[in-house]
Parts: sequence; C-alpha cells; structure tokens
Amino acid sequence: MSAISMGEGIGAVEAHPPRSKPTDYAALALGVVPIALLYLCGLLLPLPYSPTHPDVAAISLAPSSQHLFGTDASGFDVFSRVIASARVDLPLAVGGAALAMLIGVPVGLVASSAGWGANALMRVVDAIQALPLLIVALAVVALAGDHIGDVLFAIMLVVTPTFIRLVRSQALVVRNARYVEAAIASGCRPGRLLRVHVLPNVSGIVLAQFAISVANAILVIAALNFLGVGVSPPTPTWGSMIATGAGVIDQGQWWVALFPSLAILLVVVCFNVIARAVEDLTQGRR
Amino acid sequence: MLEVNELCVTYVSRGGTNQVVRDLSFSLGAGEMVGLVGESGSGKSAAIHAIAALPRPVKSVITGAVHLNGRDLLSLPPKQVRQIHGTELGFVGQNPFGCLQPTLALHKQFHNILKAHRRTSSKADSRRQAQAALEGVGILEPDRVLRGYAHHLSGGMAQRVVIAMATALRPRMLIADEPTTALDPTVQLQILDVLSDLRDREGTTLLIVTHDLGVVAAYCSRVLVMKSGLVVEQGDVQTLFETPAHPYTRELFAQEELSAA
Repeated sequence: MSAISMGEGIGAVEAHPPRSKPTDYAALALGVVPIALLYLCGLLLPLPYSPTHPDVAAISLAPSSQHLFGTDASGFDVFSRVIASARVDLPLAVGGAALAMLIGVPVGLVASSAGWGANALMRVVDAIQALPLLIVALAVVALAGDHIGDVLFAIMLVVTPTFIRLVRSQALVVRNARYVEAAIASGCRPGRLLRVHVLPNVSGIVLAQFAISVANAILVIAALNFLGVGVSPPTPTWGSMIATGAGVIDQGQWWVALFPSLAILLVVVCFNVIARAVEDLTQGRR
Repeated sequence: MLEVNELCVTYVSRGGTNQVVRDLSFSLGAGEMVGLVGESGSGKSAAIHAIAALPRPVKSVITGAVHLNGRDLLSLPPKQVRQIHGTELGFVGQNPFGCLQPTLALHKQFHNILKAHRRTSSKADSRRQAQAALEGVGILEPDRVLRGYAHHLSGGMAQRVVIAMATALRPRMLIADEPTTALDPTVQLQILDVLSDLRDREGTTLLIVTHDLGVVAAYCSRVLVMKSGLVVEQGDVQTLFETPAHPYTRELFAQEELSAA
C-alpha cells in the first residue's frame, strides 16, 4: 500500500463530520410543512361550516364554490370535516406512536443484552407479532368502549413490537463497536453503558422509525374508525368519513369518500418523507 | 504484576467448538514492555480480550487463570472486575476512531470514566484531570481537543486521546490491541514513544499486540510469538531476533524482511 493511499484512508475517516446537507433539510420541510398546515388550519382558522352540525338544506351536494369538497347525505360540509379531522387524528397518532417509542426503546435496549432473559423476551415479542394485531386491537377497542385511551392502546399494540425489534437489532450492532468495548474496559456499568453509549447511537434510526410509526398509527386509527369503533359519531375523523362515503359511491357521490382518503394519503406520504429525511440527516453522525 | 496460567479460549457456535487460544502461560513483571506477535487469526485478540476480561461478540468458554496483582480476574464477580477495569487495568482497542464515542464531546467521555470510579468531584475537576492526561500523551492544546468530538481529530491525535482515556485513572497495567495498525508510519512511531514514555514515567507495564515485528524489536524487552492459538516461542527480544528457534518465527522474520525490502 502506498503512502498516498494510506493518507486517503485516514482522510476518509476524518471526513465524517455531521453532514448538514441542505437537500435533506428541504426534504424534511417538504414532509413537515403540509402536515403542520393541515393541523394548524384545523386549530386556528375558522372553518366555513360547522363540522359537527349538519345543514339539512344542503344534502349530498357535489363540490362547488360554496362547498369546496361537497356535502354528504346528512348535510355535513366535507371540506370542514376533513380539516377538523386532522385535529383529532394527528395528535392521537403522534401520541400513540410516542407511547410505543417510550416502551419499545428501553425494552429493545434491554433485549439486546446477552442471556436467556433477553432471548425469552424476544420470543414473547415473536408470539405477539404472530397475532393479527389490528384485529386484536379492534376487538380490544370494541370491547372496552370508545375511549381515547383504548385507541392509544390499540396503536401501541400494533406499533411497539417494531420498535423493540429495530432498537434491539441496532443496539446489537452498536454493542460491537470499539467505543463500547472501551467503555467496558474503563469500568462502565451495564445500565449506564446502554444509556450513555448505546442509546445515542441508535437515536437517529429510532426517530426515523417514529415518523413511520405515526404514519402507521394514522392507518390504524382510520381502520378502527372506518369500522365504527373508537369514535362517538358527530366527531369527524377520516376513517368514519370514508365509511360514510363508501356507501354512496355507487350513487355517483364520489366526493364524500375521496377527500378524506386523499387527506390520509397526504399525511402518510408526508410522514414517510420525514422518516427518510431524518434517516439521511442522522446517518452522518453514526 | 500479570500472571497468565494455562489460559484456554474456546469459541462456541452452533456448528461446534473452536479452540482459539491453547494453554497460554506467561507472566509480566512491573514496568516491562512485552510484545505479542502473530499473523491474523492466530488468537492474539482472543487471548488479550480474555486476559482483560472483556466480552466478545462470539460465545466463548474461558478456562485457566489470569492473576493481576494477585487477584484472578476470571473468577472475580463482575462488580469487582468493573472496579479493576480502568483503575488497575487499562485497555486500548483497535482503531482509535472506533474507540471514541461519536456522539459525546471528549471532555464528557473523560468525565464519565472518572465518575464511574468516583475519582472526580465536579465537571471542572474532571476537566483538569483530563487536561493533565492529554498533556501526558503529548497533546499541546488539551482544552481545544476536550471541547471537540472524535471526528475533529486526526488519526494520531485520536490514538493519543484513546491512550489518555485508558490511562486517566493511572492503571499499572495497560494492554494495547494493535495500537499502531491504523496509523501511518511516522505517527506510529510517535504513538509508540507515547507508550514507552508512559512506562518510563509511571512504571506502567505494557502488553502490546501487533503484527509489526519492527515495533517489537525497537520498543519491547520480551516477545511472545503466537500461531494457531499456541505460543510457539517466547524470550527476550535480542536472543529471539538473533537466534529464532521455532521455524514459524523464522518464517515470520523472513516475511518481515521481504516486505521491508
């Protein structure tokens, strides 16, 4: 090996500073801005019509300048309800995913240690994942009632196992790093080792997974609401709006189901874009 | 100082077992600098990880005894081994960048080490001790280095910092796994000078793993030659280099001369 190529090899190691590529930030903004707009509009701006009080004089109207997204069979304005739903669905999805992360990350870290206990834990996770989780969640919510807590539980049930698996597999990689060995060789306790040395080096991928989990949670909520569990009727949610619209598509009223579906599509795509951008942004640090 | 008795390391996998270190026995006196040489896969790394009581990713069975200052590291409970790690036994791993945690500022890493053994009263105190440790390995602007992160350092600087961390608590015994392999030749010599200075100043006992015989000839007093998990020859550097007894040692020297030419 020549001296020059060795120099390059060392240079390559030095040149791994935290990259802050502008394109990654642009991608992040591309994901965050539409979601923020959707949520803040629902929160701050006055809606053209009440999302919870139908106008009996305006039933099943096609989209027009008066009713941008049309109205449904009960006389609800679809536009107002699509925007208002964001206020309900988004915090629920973010909250559910956050709870799943709070449980999944520590469990995943602990499960990365050697020994039969960690192995047994992973077999339990296997067993849980073998169940059709969405169906189980549906049953739980349907049985327990229509409380927000039950919907959160359903999201956690579906999303937490992925966190555990991901964190464990990443932690297993990080545990083989020389700096973990160096920390052990300087007398670091196992708990501290996980918190100070392993956790910060899996955090990037965890944040990316969080964004994907929110997208997942949106779909779980929509599925529950579509099937009529997890909400009490006048409250608008995308899932229940699609359920209402699905019944009238064959009568030519496509707009009732289409616009909430587009809202879900937009939000899910945006969270996936965020996940990708977060992954790219944090990779340089590892 | 360090006494290794019939150390055996066997890797266990589903496919069977593989004995990677066989009946390794040697002892180091205080202040000695000893080289452990051998080709890749000869069991050097497995041996020193076992001696330093560090876990490996591969499941392994370790038998024998490793006495450090009279205590058997292999039979002590984990808590006592943690107390010895860093204070009585320092370890410098392969590849200096890999040994530094990428997400923590360096002064925090020093603080963590000192805190783990309750050798610091405050962050400012840790910083003072870290500065002294960095000056000890020849770093001229310790303050600036301490504020930064691992990726701000050059290869030689990173290795100096790693050595300073491993010796921050003044262990009497230091094991270094290929401390110069990832560095370019001029920096290699500087790092070796840092290590031998440490021995001269503090009386630190050094066990250096390497496949560079030049390093051994220039710096070590004794050498152990390993092949396929066995120590095939050991002795003081001069006799071994002048009259190598084992054919493998002669082969190793012949290769070295070939690559030097």
